Amino acid sequence: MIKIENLRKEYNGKEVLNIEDLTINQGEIVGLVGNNGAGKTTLFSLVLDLIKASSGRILSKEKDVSQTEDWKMYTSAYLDDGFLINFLTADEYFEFVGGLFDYSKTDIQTFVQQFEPIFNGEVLGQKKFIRQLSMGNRKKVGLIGALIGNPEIVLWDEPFSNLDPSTQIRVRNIIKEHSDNRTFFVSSHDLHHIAEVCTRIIILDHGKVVRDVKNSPEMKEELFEFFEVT
Amino acid sequence: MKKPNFLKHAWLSFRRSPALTQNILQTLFLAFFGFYIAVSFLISGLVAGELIRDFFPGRDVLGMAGAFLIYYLPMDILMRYFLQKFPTLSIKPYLLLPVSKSAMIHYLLRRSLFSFYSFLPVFLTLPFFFVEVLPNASSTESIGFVVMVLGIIVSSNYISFWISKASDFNNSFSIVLLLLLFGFLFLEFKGITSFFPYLESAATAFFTNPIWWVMPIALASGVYMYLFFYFKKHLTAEKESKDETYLQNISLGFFGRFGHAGRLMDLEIRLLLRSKRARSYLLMSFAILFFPLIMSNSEGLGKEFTYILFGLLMTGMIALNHGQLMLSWNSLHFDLLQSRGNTIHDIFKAKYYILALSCVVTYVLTLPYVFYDPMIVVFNTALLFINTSFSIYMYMALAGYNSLRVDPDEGNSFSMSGFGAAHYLIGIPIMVFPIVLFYAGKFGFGSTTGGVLTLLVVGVVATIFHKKVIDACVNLFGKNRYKIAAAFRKE
Repeated sequence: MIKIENLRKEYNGKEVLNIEDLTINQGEIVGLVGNNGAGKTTLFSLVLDLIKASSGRILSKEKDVSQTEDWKMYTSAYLDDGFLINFLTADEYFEFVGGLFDYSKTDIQTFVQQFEPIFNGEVLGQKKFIRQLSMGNRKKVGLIGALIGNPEIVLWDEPFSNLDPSTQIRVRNIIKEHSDNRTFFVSSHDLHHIAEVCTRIIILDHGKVVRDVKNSPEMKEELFEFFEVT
Repeated sequence: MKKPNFLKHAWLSFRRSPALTQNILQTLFLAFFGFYIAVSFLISGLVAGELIRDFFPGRDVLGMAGAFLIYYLPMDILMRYFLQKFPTLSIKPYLLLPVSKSAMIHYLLRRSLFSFYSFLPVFLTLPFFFVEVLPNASSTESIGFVVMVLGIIVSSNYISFWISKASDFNNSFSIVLLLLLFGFLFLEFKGITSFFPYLESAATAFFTNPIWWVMPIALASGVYMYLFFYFKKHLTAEKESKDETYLQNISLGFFGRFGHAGRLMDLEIRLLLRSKRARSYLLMSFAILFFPLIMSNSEGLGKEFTYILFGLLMTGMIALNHGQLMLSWNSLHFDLLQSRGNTIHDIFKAKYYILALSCVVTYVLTLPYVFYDPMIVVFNTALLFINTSFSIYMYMALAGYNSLRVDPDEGNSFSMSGFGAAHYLIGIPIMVFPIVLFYAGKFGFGSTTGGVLTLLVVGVVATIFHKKVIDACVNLFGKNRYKIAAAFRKE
C-alpha cells in the first residue's frame, strides 16, 4: 500500500525524520507513537505530499505521491483544523467532501447519520458554522469527514486527544469496525488506546523508527516498557 | 494593583509580526507605500487652497475647507469602519493577571488612536494650515481649525470603534450611508442642489466662536466614556459570537452539478458571503459601480482614459479584490483541498470561472448606464473581456508566488498582512496593458471605435484560450506549491 524508501526530512539543516525502509500493508491498523518532536506529524505530512522530502520518496500503490495525484482519490486524512472548512456548517462540510466522491445529498446524510452517537446532537443539523464549534466537536467533524468516500487508507493524527472519554472509546470502535480492507495509520500519545486497537505499532524517536512490532502478545509490553520513565 | 507596561508589548507584537519579519522586500514596499500616501496627502494639502479658489471662486477659503472637513467626518468614520482594526481580543492574555481592568480598557481605547488612519488627516491638513490658515486667518480661527481637525480625528476613531465593536450596526447599513454621502457629492458637483453653503456657514461659525469648540470635545469624550463603561461591563475572554445564522437558509448549491470545479465554486461563493473580510471586499466592489456618477466631465484624451480606468474597475473590481488573494482565501483549509479528491487543476478552474462570472455580474449591473452615458457601456463591454482574460490570468499567475495566509473571517478589516509587494506591482500591468492596447488601436485605425474594437477582439480571443492559461498557471503553481502550502500553515 504505502512504501517508504530512504526518506529524510530536515529543517534548516536539522534532521527531523529519517526512515530507510518502511512498508505499510493493506488492512493494517498501524499505531504511530513517539514523544513530542519524534516526527509523527512530519511523516503524515510527507505521506500526504503536504511537505517536500529532503530526499527519498513515498510510494502509494507503487506511485510516488509527489509525482501523481492519483492517491488523492483513495487517501483521506485528518491532521488538524487545516482539513476543515470553517465557514461551512458540519452538514455542508460533509456534503462538500461527499461531493468529491459523487455522493448525493441523501447518500451523505445516511452515511453521516450512523455516527450520530458520536456527534451527540451537537453537530448534525445545527445552525452553526464549524468555526463556532468547540474543539472537540471540530475534531469529530474532521474524523468522520475522513471516512467519507470509502478511502482505502485513513491517516488520523492524534484522534483521541481533546475528546471526551466515551467518544474516545467510540472512535476506537470505529477503527475496529471500519478496518475491513482499509488501512488505518493513527498517531497517538494514548498508549492504552493504541495497544487496544492497533495490529502493528511503530515507535518513532528523534525521527527514526526504533521499534516496529506486529500483532503479538509482547507488543503491548514492549510499548509500555519503551515509554517508562525511570 | 500593578500597571504592566502594555506599550512595550504592543511594540514587541508589532516588531515581531510576521509581516515585518518574514520578508524584507515586503517591509520595504509597505514603508514605501505608506511614504507615498503620506507625500501625496501632503501635496494635496499644499494645493488645496488653490483648488478651492479655482472651483469655488469668491468663496471664503477657510470656510470651504471647514465645510469639506465636516463632510469628511462621516467618510472618515466609514473608511475606518471598513479598514481599521480594533483588536479587543489582544488583551485576552492579561485578563487573568492581577491587572486592573480599567487600566487595560484605557490602554485598549488609547492605543486605537495611534493608527495610520489617524495620521492621514494630519498629513492632509498640516501643509494647508501653514500655507493658508496661519498667514491669512486670525489666531482664534487658527486655533479653531486645529480644534476641528483634532476633534474629527478623535471622534472618528471612537465612533467607528463603537460601530465596529459595541453596536448592532452592520455592513448593509454602512453601504446605505456610503451611497447617501456619494449621492450628496454627486448632486453637489452636478450643480443640482447645493448644501455646501450651509456647511460653510457652520464651519465659519465654528472657527470664529470658541463656544462651538466644546462640541467636538464633548462628542469625542462622550463616545470614549461610553466605550469605557461598555467594555468594563462586557469585555471578557470570550470570543464575541454574533448570530450568523442569517445566511444559512440561502441555497448555495447551484454549480455543484458541474463536477468538482463546480463544487469548489459553490464553496467560493459561500466564502464570499460568509466571511467578514471577503464580504467587505465584495461590498467595496459594488460601491465602485457608482463612481461614474461623480466622475468629472473632462473632454478629449482624458475622457477616454477615464472610461478605460473606470470600466476596468467597474467590471473587474470583485475579480481585483478577490482574485489578488486567489489561493490565500483558502489558506486555512488548503491542506484539505490539496490532499483529498480535488486536483490542483480543479481548484484553478473553479477560481477562473468564479472570477469571470463576477466580472459578468458586475458588467450586467453597469448596463443601466446606457441611459446616462452610452459610452460607458461601450467601453465596459470591451473591458469585460480584458478582465475575463488578461486581468484574471495575471491573478492566477500571481497565485503561483503568493504565499500569504489570510483568515477570511479576521474582522471587517483590511489587514496589511495579506498583501505583498507583488500586489501593488500587479496593478501596473493590469492598468497599463489595456490603455496601451486601446491607444495602439485608436491610432492604428484612426478612430476611438478602432481602439474599442481592438480591446474587444484581443479580449475575446484571449478569453477563448482560458483553458490553456489555466494549465500554464497550474504548472507555475506546482513549482512553488510546497513553499506556498507551508506559508499557509503558519499563523
